[in-house]
Amino acid sequence: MESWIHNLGRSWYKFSRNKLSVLGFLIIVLTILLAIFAPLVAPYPTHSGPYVDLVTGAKAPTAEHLFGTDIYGRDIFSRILFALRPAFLTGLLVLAIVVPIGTVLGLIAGYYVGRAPDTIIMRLTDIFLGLPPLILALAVSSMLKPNLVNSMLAVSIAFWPWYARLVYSMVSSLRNEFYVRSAELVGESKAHILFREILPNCISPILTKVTLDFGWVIILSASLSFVGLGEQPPAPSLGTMVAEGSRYLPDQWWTAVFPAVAIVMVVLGFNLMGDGIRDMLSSEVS
Amino acid sequence: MDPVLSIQDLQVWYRIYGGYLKVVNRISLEVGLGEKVGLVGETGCGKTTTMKAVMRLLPVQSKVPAGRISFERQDILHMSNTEVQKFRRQGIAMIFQDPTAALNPVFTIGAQIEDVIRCSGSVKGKEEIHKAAVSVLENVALPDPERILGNYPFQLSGGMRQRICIALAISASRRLLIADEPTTSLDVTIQAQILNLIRKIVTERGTSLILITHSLGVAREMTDRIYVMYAGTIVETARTPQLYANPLHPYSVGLFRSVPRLSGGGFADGIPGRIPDYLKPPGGCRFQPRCPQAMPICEVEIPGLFPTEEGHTVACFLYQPAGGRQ
Amino acid sequence: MKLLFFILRRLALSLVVIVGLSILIFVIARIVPGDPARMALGANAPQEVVDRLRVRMNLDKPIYTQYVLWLGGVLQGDFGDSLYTKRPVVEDIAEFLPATVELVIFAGIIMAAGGILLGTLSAKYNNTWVDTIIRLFSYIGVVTPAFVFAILFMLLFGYLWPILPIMGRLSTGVVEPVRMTGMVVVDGVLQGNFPAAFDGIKHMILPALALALGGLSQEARITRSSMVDNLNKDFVLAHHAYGIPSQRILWRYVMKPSLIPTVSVLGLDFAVLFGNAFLVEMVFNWPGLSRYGINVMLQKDLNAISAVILVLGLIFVLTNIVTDLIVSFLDPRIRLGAAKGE
Repeated sequence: MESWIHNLGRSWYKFSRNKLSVLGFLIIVLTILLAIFAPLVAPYPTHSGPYVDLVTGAKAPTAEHLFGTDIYGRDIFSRILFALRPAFLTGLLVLAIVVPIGTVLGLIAGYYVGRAPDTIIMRLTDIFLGLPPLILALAVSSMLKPNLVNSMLAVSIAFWPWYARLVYSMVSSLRNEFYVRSAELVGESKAHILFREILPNCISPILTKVTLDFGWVIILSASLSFVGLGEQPPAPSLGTMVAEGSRYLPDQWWTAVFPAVAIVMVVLGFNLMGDGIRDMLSSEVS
Repeated sequence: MDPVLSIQDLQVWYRIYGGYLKVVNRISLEVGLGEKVGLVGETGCGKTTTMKAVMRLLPVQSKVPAGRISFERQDILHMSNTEVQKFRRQGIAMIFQDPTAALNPVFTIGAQIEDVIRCSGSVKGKEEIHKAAVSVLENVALPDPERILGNYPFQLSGGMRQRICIALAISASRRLLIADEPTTSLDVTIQAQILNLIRKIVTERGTSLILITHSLGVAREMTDRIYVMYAGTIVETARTPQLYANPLHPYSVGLFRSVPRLSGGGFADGIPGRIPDYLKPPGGCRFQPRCPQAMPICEVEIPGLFPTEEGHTVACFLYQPAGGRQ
Repeated sequence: MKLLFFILRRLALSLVVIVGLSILIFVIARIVPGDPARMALGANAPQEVVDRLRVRMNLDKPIYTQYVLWLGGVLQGDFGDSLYTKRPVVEDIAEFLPATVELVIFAGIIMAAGGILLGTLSAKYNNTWVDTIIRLFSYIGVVTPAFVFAILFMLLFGYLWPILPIMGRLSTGVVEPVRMTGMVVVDGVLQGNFPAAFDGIKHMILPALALALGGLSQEARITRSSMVDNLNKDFVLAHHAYGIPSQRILWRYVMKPSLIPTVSVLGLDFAVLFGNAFLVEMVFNWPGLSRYGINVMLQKDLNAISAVILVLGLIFVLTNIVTDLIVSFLDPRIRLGAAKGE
């Protein structure tokens, strides 16, 4: 019990040694809370949908409308809070699909390094990595109906190979460790060796990558909606809001700038936190 | 005569989670001109850290709260950066423990040696420098120097790499050579060759030597005088024959008993216990928790260095002269 | 000899990727729910016109036959006609690709030079205010999407403090160079039309910066961390111990091994520039392949989409090969075929 607390304290020390990691942690906690409680926190919850009030349209930021209003008179601040919801949802669902698939494929390929499963899986991975993720995601989503679910699918297709490659590179070297060899000699099942012996040793890089990727997934899906291949209006989405706002530059700069800043803040939060987690999990003493 | 190198009361700390590791604790040490000195102790007892302090190569998270290091009367710890560079070029050379790590992996041997010669400023001109590099390799008995100069470190064997490191260290003439466990990472068969080479070079040039080692056999063959280190302190110092004939400090005694003998008797005894926690070192003598002869005073007070015979001093209350403390 | 073998092996692997990519692209282009021919012609077109287009696009044949026919055409440089511009896709690509290549190369130079420089400075002044500022800057650079940079630059340097052009490739009134390579700056220089070349560069600055900053920051971070890593290696201590000046150790002995990871990522990021160009070209109205790509994607123009993606895939694979060659040039252990982990 005491050592458990000591470990937690030690982990927090390593994480918080860099004050920026703590800042990232706070940003993420705050934005997640804002997203969850958007209907309560947002000053104009009804503005999240197809609301039109041309009288208050295109107003610069005031105390009443913190970030101003768009041409339909909708409060940008409220819409940003509601747009955080699909952003986090996309991050969560995409990673929930991509991490297990990529990890399992990487485990299998890495365990059978140099043999048929390795060749098949890793060549397939290479093919998917033969395109920059944004182009692959654009290509897939351009063929499907533009909506939130399909954009998640497109982003997932672009992301799984990176996990397969990461896990593969670790496993192909781990598989010759003594504890793997001895488990094989004792006659443990393949599933036991893969998931109980090898996988636990790959957890920390995967965990770090997941935290960082949360941000990248959000950027990628915002990019899709920026070009019009993601969530469709009037549903609030950060990418769409930036794209719509950019049409009214420079006069209504606030319609583009604030949603853009929101994207940057969230991704920054995940990045800072990811670095903190890497510091926390790294074993080096310094 | 003045010593070449003199260390007085040196302390080195490393900052970590929970405070400072007090790695080197009030060490004093002297090396005379042409003298060959051994620094003996277990891994992690602060030998390398002490030498890094001498070379001004300590990492940023370390600090030196007290102490003085002087090399030929120059105060090393308070030198400016340019002075340090000059001092490294002309004063002290160092051979590292792992020749593989000490050579830059992506430059040829020739590029590395020639650059050291060029920077030392003793030889000018491309041709001349190349010739100097060849002759340095010949000095460390490497065959076919021209070919080796064109090779990368990974293309050479461990023994050859260590010869290259020695070549780098002696490529400019210096007054003191520090060899940090120069044979630990090498095959047993190569070790003797490398040690002989170091001894030959040091003797021929009249260079002083500090040999860091955990091997008592190596120290006996190579040195005139020995400092025994334990957990960041010097526990005993004596001329080499004195120490081998009559080790006094309980730690030194244990160290000698740990050496396996070839003539029967099975495995050696070793010393029970382990090196103390540097974060919270034991009060009093640092060896006291493992010491078979510990007394009540050992837990409270730090022993000074008590002289027992000419050139032989011990940091142990067992050898405190009768009639009071120093 | 070993180097030749290395290159051949690399090319063979790339061939697998390219063939696989062509299949992947083909499959993606056929997963469209509904009839592509109907989609291309709109809901009001008569059924027989749609049927005729189906036959012309080979949509009436089994899928593997379609692939073979498509691939046969591609190998002869025939990607079919674009339903969006109503002309051969190859012509479209020939027209739009040079503008993108020019922009991406310019951005790539900014990215590589800026990233390595900032990373090195950051490592050199590790844990000082210089390091803090550069790290903060690169954090923001890494997390800001290219399209956000594009919009911010447009707002700041196009409207608020209008010092640079924000639309297109050339100002009105500047004599356009005769099209040779299709790259305005290159053509301008070749023909001695320096005003056009200069104007072309001015037009590229903002879009190229918007494109480059993400990668630049990434490069700065990687260079910094690999330099800090290498600075703690024994060989650096050794170089110091031999009395080599610290500046020389940094810029020569630490730089070269530290560039190995940077160059690997640089290659990847260079290809990512082509991806981000999709968004940046849209914002700056840059008449390149990526803006064309977005338009055909929004139109579901199958032939054009497949062609654009295949071309970008080829460029990506090519970039990777070049990257590997540069890395093997920097790292003798790879070039001379030593086992890894030596």
